[in-house]
Amino acid sequence: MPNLIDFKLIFTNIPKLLRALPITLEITFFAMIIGLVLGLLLAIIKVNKLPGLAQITAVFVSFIRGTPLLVQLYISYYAIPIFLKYINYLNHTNYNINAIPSMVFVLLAFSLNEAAYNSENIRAALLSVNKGEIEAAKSLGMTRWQVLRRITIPEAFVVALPTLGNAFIGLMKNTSLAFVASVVDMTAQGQILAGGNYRYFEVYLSLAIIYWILTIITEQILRILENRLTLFSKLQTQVPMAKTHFWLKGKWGQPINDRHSASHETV
Amino acid sequence: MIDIQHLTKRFNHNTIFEDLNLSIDSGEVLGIIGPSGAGKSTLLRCLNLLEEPDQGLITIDKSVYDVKKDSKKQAHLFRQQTSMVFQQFNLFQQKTVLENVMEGLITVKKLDRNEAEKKATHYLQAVDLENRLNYYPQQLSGGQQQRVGIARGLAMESGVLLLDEPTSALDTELVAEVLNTIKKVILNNKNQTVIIVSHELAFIKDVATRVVFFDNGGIVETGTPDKLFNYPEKERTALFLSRFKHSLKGA
Repeated sequence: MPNLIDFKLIFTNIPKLLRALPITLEITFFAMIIGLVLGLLLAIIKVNKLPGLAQITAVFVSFIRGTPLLVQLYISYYAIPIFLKYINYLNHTNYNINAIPSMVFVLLAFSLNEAAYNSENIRAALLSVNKGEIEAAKSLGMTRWQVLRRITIPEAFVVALPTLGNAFIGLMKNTSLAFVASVVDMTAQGQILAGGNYRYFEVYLSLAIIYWILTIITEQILRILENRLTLFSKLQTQVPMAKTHFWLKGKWGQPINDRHSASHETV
Repeated sequence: MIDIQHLTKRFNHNTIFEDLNLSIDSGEVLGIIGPSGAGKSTLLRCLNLLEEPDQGLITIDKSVYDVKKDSKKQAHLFRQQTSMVFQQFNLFQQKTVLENVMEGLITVKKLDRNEAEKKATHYLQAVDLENRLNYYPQQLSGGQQQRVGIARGLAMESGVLLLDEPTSALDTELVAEVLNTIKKVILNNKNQTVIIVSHELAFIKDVATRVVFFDNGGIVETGTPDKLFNYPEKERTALFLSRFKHSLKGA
């Protein structure tokens, strides 16, 4: 029987693929940070219904959510050179279009995409902050900016953390699309590897394992973060808790409403 | 001294009060009583500019706020003349008791951390919570939370303390605890001007130096507690008070 699956190769591929891990992480972290900052800005514009800006934001978010990421990557890939050509034509300058690193197209597309999705999450989180606390902060004499920075944003962050974490995981896996702009991320590296030995199945399995492990690590980090940040607010909003999350157990995490044990006692 | 002139507040087309005039001396403890929906809380919130009045002039000591002329940006400066204690406590849930009181001292009063902590601790001692400094609001009873709210207001040392139905959200057995704290605060500092909106008439009768009966967006009657509670001049006042006969007995 021919050698249908080369099991050993699945694992020996991994170190070779990991050489491209820094590129994957670079796109992920850069896009997430820009996506958070820009997303917060867009969310604040939306919440405060700033005339003009709010409408532009709405169109932007609608466009990003309404088009595939792959299409956005291609648009970014072709739009920037056209834009530069136009600038060259207008100002009689001579910027070298070919000198732009392909990473720029990828980072731009991912950052804008992330900002649009994050802005909706952050907006919902900002709106969920207790109005009473905002009033209390105002009544102390804080300026609007101080209220935002000291009270609203920290509280909203706790609420938004799970969805932002989800976005982060989604982003990390979506970076596998970067190859369309000729950036060699992990997936592109895999395709190159398989191109040499035609062992495509094995290389994709190796990639799946790496992405999965990365996701599991991220989930664990998020869990620790959430555990630290949301303990008190969870206790407040989930009383009585239907289910006690394991990370809530401990000092204050005793099941508040343990119906089962109570019913045993009375029977 | 607080001077309110021609103050008007509307919510859309619904007039809460119109052309309201009221003057309050420094160190006075003013109790505002009246039926629900009369506009008592709205008046208090207008003094703190949490509600933007539609018209009028508010003077607190030397600061004047002209509703028509002054920009909204000036509001945060004017707010520093008063401190508010809320019905729902409105403590910062992500901050400890100590941090709740320190917040305004650091961001608004620009004290450094040590000074702020010292002052916050002092006022938390005044409301008997010095052993709860590092607790979070959810770990406290409603009464304790409201006492933190009072300490947070006092620590700003604004000179005017506005209490907006401070015990309405509390279970009956916790009301006395908070009222005792308020009483202690008033007795401790004779210069502190206090305006309290409350349905705890017996308490108002006990601590207020002057009482205002507020109904249908206007001041119906004002006077000393003794005069207003025992010898009301207006029929509406008498009718309102008659509903509270039981709770007022012995006060």
